Amino acid sequence: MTGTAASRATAAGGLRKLRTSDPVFFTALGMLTLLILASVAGRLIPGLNDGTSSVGGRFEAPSLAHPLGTDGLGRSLLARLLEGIGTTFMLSLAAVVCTAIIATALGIIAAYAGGWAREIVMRIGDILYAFPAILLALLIAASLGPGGTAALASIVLVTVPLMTRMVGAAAAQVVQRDFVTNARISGVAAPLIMVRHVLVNVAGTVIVQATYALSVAILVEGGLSFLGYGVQLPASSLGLLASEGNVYMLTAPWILIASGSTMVIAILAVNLLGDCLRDRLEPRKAVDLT
Amino acid sequence: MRSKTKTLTGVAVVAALVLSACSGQNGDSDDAELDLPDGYAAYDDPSADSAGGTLSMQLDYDTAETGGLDPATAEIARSWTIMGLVYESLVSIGPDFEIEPELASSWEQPDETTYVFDLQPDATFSNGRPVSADDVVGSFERLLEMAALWAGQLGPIESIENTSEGDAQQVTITLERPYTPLLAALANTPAAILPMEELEAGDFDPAEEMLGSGAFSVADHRQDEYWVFEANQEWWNADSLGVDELRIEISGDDQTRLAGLRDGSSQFSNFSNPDALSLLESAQGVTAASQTQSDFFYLMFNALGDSAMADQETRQLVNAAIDREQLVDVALAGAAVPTGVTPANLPDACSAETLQSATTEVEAGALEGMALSLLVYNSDPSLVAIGQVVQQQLEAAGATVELESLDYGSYADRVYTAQPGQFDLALGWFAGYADPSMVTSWWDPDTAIFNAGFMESHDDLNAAIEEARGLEPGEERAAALQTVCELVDDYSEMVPLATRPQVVGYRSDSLGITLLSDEGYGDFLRGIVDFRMLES
Repeated sequence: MTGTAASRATAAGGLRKLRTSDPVFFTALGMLTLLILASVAGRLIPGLNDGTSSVGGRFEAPSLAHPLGTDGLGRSLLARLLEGIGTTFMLSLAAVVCTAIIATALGIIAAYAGGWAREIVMRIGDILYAFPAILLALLIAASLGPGGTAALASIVLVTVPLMTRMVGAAAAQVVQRDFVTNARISGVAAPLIMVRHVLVNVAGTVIVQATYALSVAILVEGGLSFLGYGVQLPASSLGLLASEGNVYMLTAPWILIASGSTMVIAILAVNLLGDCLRDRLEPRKAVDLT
Repeated sequence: MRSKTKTLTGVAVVAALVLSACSGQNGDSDDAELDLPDGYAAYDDPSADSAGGTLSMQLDYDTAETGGLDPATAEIARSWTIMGLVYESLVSIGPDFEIEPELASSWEQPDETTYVFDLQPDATFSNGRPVSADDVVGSFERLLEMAALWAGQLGPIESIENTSEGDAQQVTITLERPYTPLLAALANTPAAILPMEELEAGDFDPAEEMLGSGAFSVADHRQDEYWVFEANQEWWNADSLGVDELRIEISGDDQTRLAGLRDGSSQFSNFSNPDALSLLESAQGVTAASQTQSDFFYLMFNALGDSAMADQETRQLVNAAIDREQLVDVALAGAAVPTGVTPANLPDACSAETLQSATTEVEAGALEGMALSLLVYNSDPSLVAIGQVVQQQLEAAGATVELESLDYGSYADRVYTAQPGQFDLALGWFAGYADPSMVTSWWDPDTAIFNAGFMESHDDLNAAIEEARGLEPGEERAAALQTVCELVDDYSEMVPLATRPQVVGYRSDSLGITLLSDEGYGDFLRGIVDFRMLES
């Protein structure tokens, strides 16, 4: 069996096993699906997408009319929360896709080229990795100015170093295997080897790391928006709602509770999903600590 | 059964304790409010002893860095407040916007164009040199020669002369024609008296350092981070000062300042968020007070750009689509009132309800197809809240509005620096001052050069502004100011929305403060010379 075929078989087998036997996987997937469906519904269903000030009074406690209460401008918190979930997920997913592309390319090239190329990529990654994530994100956001672009760039720069290192390590093992050596000796072009043989064999690692990067992205977006550097009003995001809720924690606690718990659920679901995927796609890294 | 009764009793006791703890401060506050003299939102007997020591406070933002430390060129209210700790003007503002002595111990007006000021005999700069009439004359001449923005508020000054006789220091200001707001204009920090002898000798650079005759002198400062002031022992009333050292930390986050008050790490904070009053209600040892401001929020239209806002009728329609009552109720927690150009809480102010924008009904869809940008700066939470409500109101009328929340530098570049401005609509706020005919000056772009990028100069409006400034308070002036308000509403290039509330919170268990109930220059520290540190 070739490396490509072996990898496909492993990934497919792992995913098939997930489909049949892992309640944690299904719970996490269910939670994420629910959040995403809710945010889509929030944008499409009349009544849920009504964020105008005339909806209710200011800081109304949760009621039948407003299940999550209202915010400081009398807007339905449910509508704001659903919009916020969508914004946070869209931003985080976009950032993770960028991260996955950049980190995978860097990691594979570094592993395949080896030598100085690998040292340079990894050491730059180390330098970036040495900064606390939120501090690095703040530096970028402060340089670019507050907003969604700053949040996206921050997330990418925060998540790229770790993912590059993980993909690079996985790719380094792959490039030493016989089928890669054979391809090199046979004169197959380097880009083709990196895509056909290396990328396919590190795909599992990329998927697993992307899920972890997604949880970091949600957290970084939350942190930046909470501090005023991320998503700006009148848009809504989980971090922005948490920031507003923090000010009114004593008088209107429902804002912080709703946004904070949603963020916890989202991050928990993504992390659980990542763990399940790791157990199946990278079984050697799953360590039972008990 | 017994166990259940015990549990219920326990819950009731805990609930009672919590409720009593929460309500304690409110009772104290209410009692304190009952004793307040007229014109004060908070009052502490200035003759009572102070324990002295360091007063720690947190403010939401610092002076404008670009303006340096020169009071003559200070253009924002926070610069006036901070610089006002060090510098003195001839006069100040007291309760109900009355003009009070400061560096001038008294003044008289022998005719309607002449003002004679006698200086405090003991007035001394913090370097120990007595303040002279020449410092006053030199400071005003410098202000006028610099063509600083505030020079436009001093009116038609013909001459400023040193008329001292003997040791008594006296200055006479002569006007070309009557100008009612002169004293209110002299009361602001840009009209502060500088040590001209040192300045002219090159020993003192007002842009880099502060040397005044006020109650405090600067010990340390890092822009946008902190200030440390020390009591100025040379101040003419130094014995009455209740604070030895003043530490001001700049903290833009409302929650941080609220937490600082709650845990006692800060003894005084300001909030532009009117909800701060309710947020501090349950904080033990903290009292919050609301100050009525003549300051007000306004909406700018880019009449000189290439958008739909270049058309006067469209601007009028957009102006009329804004429901100011809803804006006050929703964005300002009901703690403000709609206003015309003349601040609603000043005498002779025009009636905002009678203006065309207030009486015109705008139908849904009237602004259909219009795409507008609305700029706000994100350091003022009230401005962002108003922006969201305005956005929703205009969208209800059919427009598509993109609300851009920017840092102040980016905002100022697009609104004030760019010629023409790079925006359709923008929100800001003005100090309303102590005389209703002062702020009207900013509707003349020849005087308010910062507006030249988005509004035109109109002869009829300028003439109406000028006429009102020459009239004594009363019916005639009220009528003239009503004309100004109507013209401003008609041109709809810069329209007032609502007054701007201000809340201060302080640790009433360790600090007694004096706060005027009405303020016109955003100066919530005007009464700091009467602050008193309490024994812990």
